[in-house]
Amino acid sequence: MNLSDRSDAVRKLMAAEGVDLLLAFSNGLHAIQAPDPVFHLSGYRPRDESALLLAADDAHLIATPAAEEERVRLRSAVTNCVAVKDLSAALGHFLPAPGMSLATVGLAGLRHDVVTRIDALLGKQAKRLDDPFHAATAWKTEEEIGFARRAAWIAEEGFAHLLEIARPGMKECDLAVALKLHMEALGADDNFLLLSALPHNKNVRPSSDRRLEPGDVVLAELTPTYRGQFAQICRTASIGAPSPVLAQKYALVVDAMQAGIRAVRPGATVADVCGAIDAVLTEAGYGELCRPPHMRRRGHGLGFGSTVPGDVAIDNHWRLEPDMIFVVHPNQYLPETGYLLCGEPVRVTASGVEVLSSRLAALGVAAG
Amino acid sequence: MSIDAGAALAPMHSAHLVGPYDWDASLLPRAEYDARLGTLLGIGEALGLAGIIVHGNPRDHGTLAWVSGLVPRMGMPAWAFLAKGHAPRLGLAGLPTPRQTWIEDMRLVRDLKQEIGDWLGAIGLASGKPARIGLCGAAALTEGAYQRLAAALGTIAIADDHYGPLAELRQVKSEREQGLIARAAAMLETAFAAFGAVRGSGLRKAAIEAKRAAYAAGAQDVVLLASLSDGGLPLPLDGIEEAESDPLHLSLAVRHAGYWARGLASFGTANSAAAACAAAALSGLIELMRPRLSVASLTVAAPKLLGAYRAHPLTAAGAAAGIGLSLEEFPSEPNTPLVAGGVYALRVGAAGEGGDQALASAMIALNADGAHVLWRSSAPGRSLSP
Repeated sequence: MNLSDRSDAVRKLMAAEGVDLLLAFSNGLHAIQAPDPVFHLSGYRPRDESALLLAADDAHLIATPAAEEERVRLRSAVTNCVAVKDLSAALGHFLPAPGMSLATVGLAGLRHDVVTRIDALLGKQAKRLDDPFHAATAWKTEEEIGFARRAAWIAEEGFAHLLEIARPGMKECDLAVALKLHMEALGADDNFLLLSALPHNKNVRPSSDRRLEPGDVVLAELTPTYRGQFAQICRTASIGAPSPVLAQKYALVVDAMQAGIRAVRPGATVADVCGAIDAVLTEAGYGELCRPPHMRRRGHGLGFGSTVPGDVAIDNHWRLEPDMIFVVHPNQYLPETGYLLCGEPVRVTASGVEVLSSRLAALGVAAG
Repeated sequence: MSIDAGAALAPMHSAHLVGPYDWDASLLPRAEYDARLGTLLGIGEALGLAGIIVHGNPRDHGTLAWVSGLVPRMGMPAWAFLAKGHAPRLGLAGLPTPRQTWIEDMRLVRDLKQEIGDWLGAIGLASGKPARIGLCGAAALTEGAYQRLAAALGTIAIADDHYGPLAELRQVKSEREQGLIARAAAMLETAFAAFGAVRGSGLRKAAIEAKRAAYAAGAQDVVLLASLSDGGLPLPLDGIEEAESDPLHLSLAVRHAGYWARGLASFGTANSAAAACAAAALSGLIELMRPRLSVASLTVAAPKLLGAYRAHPLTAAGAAAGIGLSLEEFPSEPNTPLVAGGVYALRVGAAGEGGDQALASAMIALNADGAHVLWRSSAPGRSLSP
């Protein structure tokens, strides 16, 4: 499967919905939980607000700012591409389109004033097609799967580097910067890198100026992108030798993660994956901690393009399909140890699951 | 052809920022924020506003940082809720980062409508009661956020800031702010030097070393754009770029304690004449700078300083822009006068034939006694271009 197949899948959806022209928008902000339909269809990661216009036999990409002209031509699989100063003015060359049935994806992510201008061009008839669009394009291409494997490798190398360099006295933020640059040198083009530490963590937080101390438990969500495709591993490391209870409880959350991974197969629901994790932790006596407000999700989709299948949560009944990619992470607070992170990126295969990382999470130990 | 340099040099937004973002009271004490908040709420009171909501997201969070010190780090928006006589609140769509700000009440916002409703109740406003609320940072609001905001406010009217009186306030930097920008400018120099030191070993490696040097010097964030082809406009590096173009135009921006410094420079083997011309033109522009002069005047003057060279497209449309908590600040209108206390990024480019082209830039603190150079890419007798 490739980007052309993805456009074909969208065109099939458009035909079923009676849509002649689909306008897919990106706001260029790149939040980990927000999909980017322009990147998803073209492979071009927008720097600012951009649109991809898809018709039955034609496609155009309009990027902003105008200075993106060279880059959009280098990166976009859609060959009719242009970079302009004003997105809504450029859309004025295509709209209004009398007699055509229109639909949009990603419009709510654009700036309010831009949407006001675009709405005037679209008229009132344009459908919002976000959910069906993401459902029809939930799978990753062969190239994106390769990029996700590469990103997972980079993340693992990042954690290995953490174990090498983390030591008492080092600031969390300095460690995070060192890891980010290390992964960038290995090919990462962005990174959602959460890293924090305390002897007893209530959660994982963005890095601060706090200095590591012996006995700290370091939590890290290492989430590099390679060519715009995320992979995430969640890891925990002890500064100095871990206590027996920490080692024991970490083994428990790894067991829970493995149960979740075993539940990944085509036809299963995301809730099944979450339920398998919860079952292990409930059996160990932590059932209360498996429910809100203590627990919200056990993983999530991995963009930038599509974030399907969404949060790995007990109320998410999205059915898994081959070549979906997401992260399974129990990431559980336990009273004896505090919050613990373990998680692996997975791909749904034709018959089961491929774990994209080469080594499953194990409690790391850095110099104390 | 000319292009909007502010847009052209905008960063590729990152999914998460990892530098040192904790509030350092020794750099910006609580008293400075108290004064800013008092001023802002005083403006609001004069305008008949019952409270002020300040919005920020990765694209634009200058005003949010001005009142709170907070930079949204996770690709998602943040909000400050301010009203006279009530403790300020911060709401983040991402994970709370309480060490980043002086504001003690920080909340995770899962439902913006509910959060705003809760705040309105706390300050004695129920939706339906006639009132006006001020909104800062409206230009960056997404449609989705705007609709949730409007639904939460009900019949309460929104007064959009449109960079009005607050813009004038933010343009004038205190001595402390100028000091922080000067520190950022020193980090900028460190980053340029690191890039230059490893040039020739691959673009990605040089970019990483520039960032490493800036972070080691205390930077919070580093934005690097570089030519992907010979003489091409500086662009984000998100591919497998290794080859170094010739000439290579480099844009570096460094943030320290919330404040930015930015510079443009060119490296090349056949652009020494253009580089000398751009450096001389830059010196000429620096000499011209004074309070009450407009950016438009500088932009008109620049080509006259380039002799036989044409103005480079990147700098032809605007020779200067304010800089501070935002990369591209005031004046947003070219005819607005520069002010004493303002800090500006000056830029000029000389374009000759083929690869004979170069960019030069400077960071200028403009005070009543004249222009003070915080950083410059090149000077007579010193050039970043070999």
